[in-house]
Amino acid sequence: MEKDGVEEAFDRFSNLPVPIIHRIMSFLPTTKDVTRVAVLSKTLNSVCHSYPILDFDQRSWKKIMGFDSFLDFMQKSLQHRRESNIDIEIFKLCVIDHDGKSDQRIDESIRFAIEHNVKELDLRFGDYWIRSRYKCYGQLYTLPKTITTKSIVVLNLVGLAFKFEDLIPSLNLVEHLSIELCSVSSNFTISSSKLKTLELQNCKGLKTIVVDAVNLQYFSHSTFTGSSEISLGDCKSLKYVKLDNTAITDDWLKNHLSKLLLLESLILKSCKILGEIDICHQKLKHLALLNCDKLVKAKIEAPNLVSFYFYNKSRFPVITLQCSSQIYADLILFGISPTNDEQFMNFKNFLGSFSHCKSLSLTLPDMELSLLEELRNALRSPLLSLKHLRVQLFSSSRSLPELLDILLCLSPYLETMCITSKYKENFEEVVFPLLFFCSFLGPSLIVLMYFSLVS
Amino acid sequence: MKFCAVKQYFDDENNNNITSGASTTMIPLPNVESHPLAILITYCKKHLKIKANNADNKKETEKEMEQYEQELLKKVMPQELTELILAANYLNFKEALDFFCRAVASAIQNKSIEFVRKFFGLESDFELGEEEKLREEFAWSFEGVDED
Repeated sequence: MEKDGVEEAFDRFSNLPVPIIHRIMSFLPTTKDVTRVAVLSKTLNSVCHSYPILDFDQRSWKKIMGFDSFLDFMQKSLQHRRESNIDIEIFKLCVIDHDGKSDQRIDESIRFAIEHNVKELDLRFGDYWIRSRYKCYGQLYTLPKTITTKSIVVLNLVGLAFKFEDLIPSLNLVEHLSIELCSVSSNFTISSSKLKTLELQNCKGLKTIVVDAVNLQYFSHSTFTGSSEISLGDCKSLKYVKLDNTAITDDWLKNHLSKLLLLESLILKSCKILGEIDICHQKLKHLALLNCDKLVKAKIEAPNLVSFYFYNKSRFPVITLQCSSQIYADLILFGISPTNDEQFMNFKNFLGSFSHCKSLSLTLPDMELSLLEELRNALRSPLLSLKHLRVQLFSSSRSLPELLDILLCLSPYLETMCITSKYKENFEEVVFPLLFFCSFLGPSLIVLMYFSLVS
Repeated sequence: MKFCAVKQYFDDENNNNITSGASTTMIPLPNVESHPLAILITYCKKHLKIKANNADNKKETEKEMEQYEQELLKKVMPQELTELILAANYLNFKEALDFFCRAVASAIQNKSIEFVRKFFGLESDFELGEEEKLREEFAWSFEGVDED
């Protein structure tokens, strides 16, 4: 009797329901751990064979076996599973050392996943980091044409070559689609009520994008060459749009904003055609205008705007901003120098519209102290509501106490101030007297200073 | 959602009877033993309490919860873990189920086959030679494993 009780207590693990053993396996950090479960016992061996998540990442195998052996290993693993005929939930394949030529083992594995009704398919070819960084495509692997499946819900493709006409019919159920660094046909047209997120990043050959997806919430597009036409007007549920180096016009922006009424975040990066923009939107919360160098004028009326990011290299446009009082702004402005009156004027006026701003981060690489002084004098009333200020200087910090003085006149009710500087040497001389100086000011003022040794 | 099976029971009850003034309801849970149930109830209460205390600060909640979970794990035996998992599964208590599954996974990660077998009281039921064959095939997965 006692013996039975003891035996019953033991080996409850193998008798756990299979989905639970799979759940435990899904928390195991490495494929090695997952593989070892198969050697524990016969029961667990077969549980392993029905584990619905397959992740073949050549990067983690690099130290153990070469490219060829890796593909052999993958083929063998899949052979073990053919008998069990269980559906696969997730299939991930990452191959780095391929040379662009089709390999039967790779094509077979993709077909295998599709035959087993895979829900999440993740195929990555080539070294993503290098390709993104150096903006090159390298060798692309040709996606086998027989991807006719109706089961995929999540699809991620990196470093492949294919035609959209072959792929899109299989995307009826897809909710998350991400295509990056691929060579594709020129026309991407999709109509789907299931699509929720769509990312088309740096796809070679893509010219027109037409999306009719009433439940789409997230859209992100970037390109190396900057010549795509995009139509998103029917995607009424869009909340987040990010466009990088996309050739959109002022009219395009106005048009789309009037249709995308639920939009909350808009990020426009390197959109080099924008000249005069008019953004009037009730729900917009986050706006970023980064490196849109031809921008001359921007009128922004967004009563719910909570964050505003602006980065410009060449000129400072005329910006009129109506936003919420909770706004956090981050401005990185090159090219504001004493020699350019017009831009300085634009900047002064712009800073005035932040009178109700809570938190401001200013990076002014060319800004000199005298200019800052002029700015202080020019502002009719200081920024009274400003609570947090962060200033980054790229020039010498020798006159730090003076800087502090000016900044406090600019915004007398600061609670925290953060000053960062590129130069270490001058900082040290100044730190002690500066802290002394600060102690006379408001008790809640915290001054954070640090430097970055940027070569 | 915690204790979904129990909630379901209450919902069904409310739909069926008009209970007049009954303040206690007996819910039959035939597949759950008292010991794991007690631990699960404590876990649930603690979770709710920590959440209420740190209503605004999500990070604090996570930190406190982690501390409590670490303490709990020290007291629990391996056999109990499987009982807790089964109980959480039956009660449809997702957070507890995930937590205990993760606990099992971190207990056996990077450990040798012998260790894991001992941990769960498993016996190898392979036939002669089968196990050797498997070990050879997956030799690479045994590299770098912790010493017992």
